Amino acid sequence: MSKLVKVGIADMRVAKSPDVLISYGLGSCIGISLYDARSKIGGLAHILLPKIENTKNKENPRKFADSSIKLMIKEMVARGAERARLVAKIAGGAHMFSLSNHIASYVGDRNIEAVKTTLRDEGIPLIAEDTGGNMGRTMRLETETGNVIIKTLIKGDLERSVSYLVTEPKPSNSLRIFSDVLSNDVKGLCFTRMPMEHFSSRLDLSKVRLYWLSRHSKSENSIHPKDLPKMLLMVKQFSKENENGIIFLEGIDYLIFQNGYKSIIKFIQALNDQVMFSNSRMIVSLSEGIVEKQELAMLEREMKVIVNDAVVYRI
Amino acid sequence: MMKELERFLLVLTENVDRNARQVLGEGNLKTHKASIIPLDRIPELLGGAEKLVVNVYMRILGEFTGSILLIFSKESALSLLEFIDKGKGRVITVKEISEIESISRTLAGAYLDTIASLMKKRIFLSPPASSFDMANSVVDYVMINFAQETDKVFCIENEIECNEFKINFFTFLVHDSRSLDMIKEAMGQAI
Repeated sequence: MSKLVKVGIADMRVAKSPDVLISYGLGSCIGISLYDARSKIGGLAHILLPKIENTKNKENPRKFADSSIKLMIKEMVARGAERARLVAKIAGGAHMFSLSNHIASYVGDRNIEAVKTTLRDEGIPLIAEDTGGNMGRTMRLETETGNVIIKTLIKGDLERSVSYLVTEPKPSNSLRIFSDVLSNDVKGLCFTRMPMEHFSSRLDLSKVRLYWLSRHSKSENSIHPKDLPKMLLMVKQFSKENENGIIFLEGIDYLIFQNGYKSIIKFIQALNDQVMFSNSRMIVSLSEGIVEKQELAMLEREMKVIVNDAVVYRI
Repeated sequence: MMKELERFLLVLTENVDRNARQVLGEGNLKTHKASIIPLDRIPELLGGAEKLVVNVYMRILGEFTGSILLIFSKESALSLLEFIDKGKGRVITVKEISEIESISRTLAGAYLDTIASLMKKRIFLSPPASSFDMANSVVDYVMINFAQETDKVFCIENEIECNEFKINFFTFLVHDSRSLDMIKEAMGQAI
């Protein structure tokens, strides 16, 4: 059974498979993970400041980027990791406040730079990073796989140019998040299999173009489930007209039934491409168990996953 | 040293309620519990490292320097918005954050007036800056700024009470080493 090893602020820990290392709520600080895939030994540091040499108080080397990385390499090698096989992933360095002329307003950037310089000097390749922005991040290293999972909280809006996948029994969480994003003066485009009445009490309909997926309806607000090119074109047009829009896609099981499995996976990927090259964001609600494990993993690699009130993704 | 700091905290909380009454109008600000805590205990007090909080940060400038943070849970922030008639919903948008900044500055002003008269110093507040995120990300910001000067903060649990409203929030006062000497001197004379 795996153990959860917590890494606090100005702390560093090393663990071996199957244990999981976790550091909660990185703001301007940086989380640095090192991993050796063969021995399955990993390390995670939560550093506060760039360099030990620039400070008077040198009591805790885990507080600084340079000294913490060196200490982590030493401990990992002592436990059986091969130095030459180590790879690094980093997260954090956010600008939590928009303050100018204040140390923490630029320390995030200096931390990122110090981490990269130290890794380069130590000859450790940096293979992934999720840094900057203005959000807190929880970073988790799974020593069994080497996967680094990032979690951020949804605060009412969603990052632009990103697609989100919500796997749920009924489209309730996804609809709530869609509605929350709309309250930030955002326009929406929605394709759904749910009856229109379902939305009247849940959404500000003046902000949403709603289309019902139906084979038989002739209403101008309905769209044939087989007309995937039309939907794709509508998304493209909507993203062009609305610099800051959100697309909500629901009824995937119905679309699969009408079009076949592979076409719909390809369709979601094509929509995701549209979103990536625009300023919109997209939420895709997926019924639990409707997509096979392998395809779900593929979609999860392309999109960020929403679990309750958090966005979870791998770097 | 702790004796002087505890006395400072006691006198501060005794006086801040009165000053707050003048700025809040019909509402009352109550200070429930005041203590000196290590910086890294802040997330635990706020309900956990990943608890979503609104944090309004201001610097104290002038003859006595430091920082003041007012931290509201999401639920308290929503109640505060309802209390000041600026919304009734479940989402906190950029516009609403700015409303929270504005009332936080007023509340921080009550603390500032009290500190100024206690310390007999001329002090003022920087414009507020805010973040709405995980409690722990607030702490690492504070630690980056102050970890080399102090590992403790003054923590005050507050409640605004008015009719059906009961809004709880935390005030954290972070002092730099120069201000710490000033407190020591002022309170040492008072004891």
